[in-house]
Amino acid sequence: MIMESYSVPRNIIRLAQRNFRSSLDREFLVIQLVLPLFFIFVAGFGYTLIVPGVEGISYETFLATGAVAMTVMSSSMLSGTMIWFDRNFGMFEQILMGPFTRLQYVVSVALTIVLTGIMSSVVVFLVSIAVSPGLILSFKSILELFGSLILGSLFFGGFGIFVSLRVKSSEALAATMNLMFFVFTFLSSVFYPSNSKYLILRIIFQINPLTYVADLVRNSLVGLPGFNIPLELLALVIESFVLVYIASLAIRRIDL
Amino acid sequence: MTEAIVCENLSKYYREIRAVDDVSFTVKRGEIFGFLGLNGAGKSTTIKMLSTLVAPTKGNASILGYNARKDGLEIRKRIGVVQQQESYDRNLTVSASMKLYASLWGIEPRAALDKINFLVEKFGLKDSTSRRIRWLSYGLRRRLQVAREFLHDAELLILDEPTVGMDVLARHSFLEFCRKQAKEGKTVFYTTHIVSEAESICDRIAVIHHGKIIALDSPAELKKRYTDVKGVSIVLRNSYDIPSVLGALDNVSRDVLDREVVSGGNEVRIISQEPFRLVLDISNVLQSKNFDVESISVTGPSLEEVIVRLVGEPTKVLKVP
Repeated sequence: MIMESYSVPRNIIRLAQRNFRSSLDREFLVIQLVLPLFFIFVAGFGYTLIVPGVEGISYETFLATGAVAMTVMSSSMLSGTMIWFDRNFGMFEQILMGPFTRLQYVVSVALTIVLTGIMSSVVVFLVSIAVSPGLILSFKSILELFGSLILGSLFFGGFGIFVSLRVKSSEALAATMNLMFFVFTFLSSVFYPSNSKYLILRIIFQINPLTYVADLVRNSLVGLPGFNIPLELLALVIESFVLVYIASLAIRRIDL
Repeated sequence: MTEAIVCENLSKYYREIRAVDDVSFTVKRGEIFGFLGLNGAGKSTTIKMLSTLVAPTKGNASILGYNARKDGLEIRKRIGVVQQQESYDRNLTVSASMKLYASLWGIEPRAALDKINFLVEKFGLKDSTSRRIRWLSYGLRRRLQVAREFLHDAELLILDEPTVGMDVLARHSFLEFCRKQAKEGKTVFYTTHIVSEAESICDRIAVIHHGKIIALDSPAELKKRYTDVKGVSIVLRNSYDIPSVLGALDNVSRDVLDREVVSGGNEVRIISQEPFRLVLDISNVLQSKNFDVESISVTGPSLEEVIVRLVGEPTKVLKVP
């Protein structure tokens, strides 16, 4: 009998490699990038004609940094749905009948989500450098950017997993994801500042984690203060860990 | 240790449903052990417990010397499981799927490649290696699902209806392969609804019904145990006589348990507890009506008939081609 090494880190890496190969095909990753690039190059340039600047920076820069946050949300949320496909195509059980634990599977899914979210948003970030000459590019700002992206991907990936475990059909999954994409995006500070004149909208903006991600990304790259950066960071940390906990609990409670 | 599996009072309850109820049995190393039963009898639940996917409600199982409750990971490192349900990565090709599965089991790429080449050849997948799994026929997907469990040299193979969807050649080849694996020391826990398949491959067979094991023995011993059940076989020269023969036999009923038309439509098989008297009656009826009969004989029960008898639900439906 071949007795291979099944150490915990190796198992997690093997599972994450498998997640990438099986769940995330090239078309998925390319399509993930089309929408933010569309916003930057088409909507951004168009709106610049009527919105010259926001909070002291050009609208292209405002939108490009928002698009980085939006990308981490959409990529992570959609990669969280890999668990729906694993469950419905029998691979969830198959993996758990192999040399893996549920916890290792959960961690591998989280790792896949974070890496997918970061890779997609880094591509958009590199594009945004080209259209936003005033970006602050220092070790500190990049570190802050990555921290925000990791937290954002954990929250939205956890959300994607949670939804995947609640819906029964692929149609319901796609419809829910589309709806949530619009809810999160248009009730956040991705496209416009969060200081709406309506109180109810301001409240919704300020409890939406995508607002925190967008504000943190802008704060790190262009120095915009957001509505309260330390508080937003704290809220994002708490919300991300709560969602990760809920998602991992949901995976661990799946009836087999 | 000579036992691969030792189950002691193993039970699994889902709320009020007793899916598996106080089951005890052992499987020796190198044995092909059949686990038969009707749909919903408890076969797949037992498999889930043996593969440590679900914990037993009561009782315990020792798999390859490890406790199923405590040593799940150690057990899963040493077993290969083909689930009844399909499991595959739909976007991958056959070749990529095999390579990925090998990497999940930590098999070195070079060693994996040799094994993959051997298995795709053995399971008739060679012409499909570059095809995406989602476009394969059900039978080919099933072959892939079975083949990949032989990548990692499992000591115990748990196969839940592995031949479903396979064509006759693929099934024949697979059964041969299983026998060879057992000869080389692997233990096989095998469930199927094709009783003749179980009879041909299994050293021993357990029959589970409503969550309980109701019989456990070698196929030959199981058949011996029910010698009171015999079959009377009537082979006709012309299959178009079958409906008339069945009509004529309607009045001949001496403890007839079951009747069916077999062998491509020219043989009627009647199961009875009084076969010898039945033969005389049948001969008289058929002679009086001038049917062209090739032979009438009394045969022992098939394993399928034994199992039908065991589970107490003989098929009364008359099958006419």
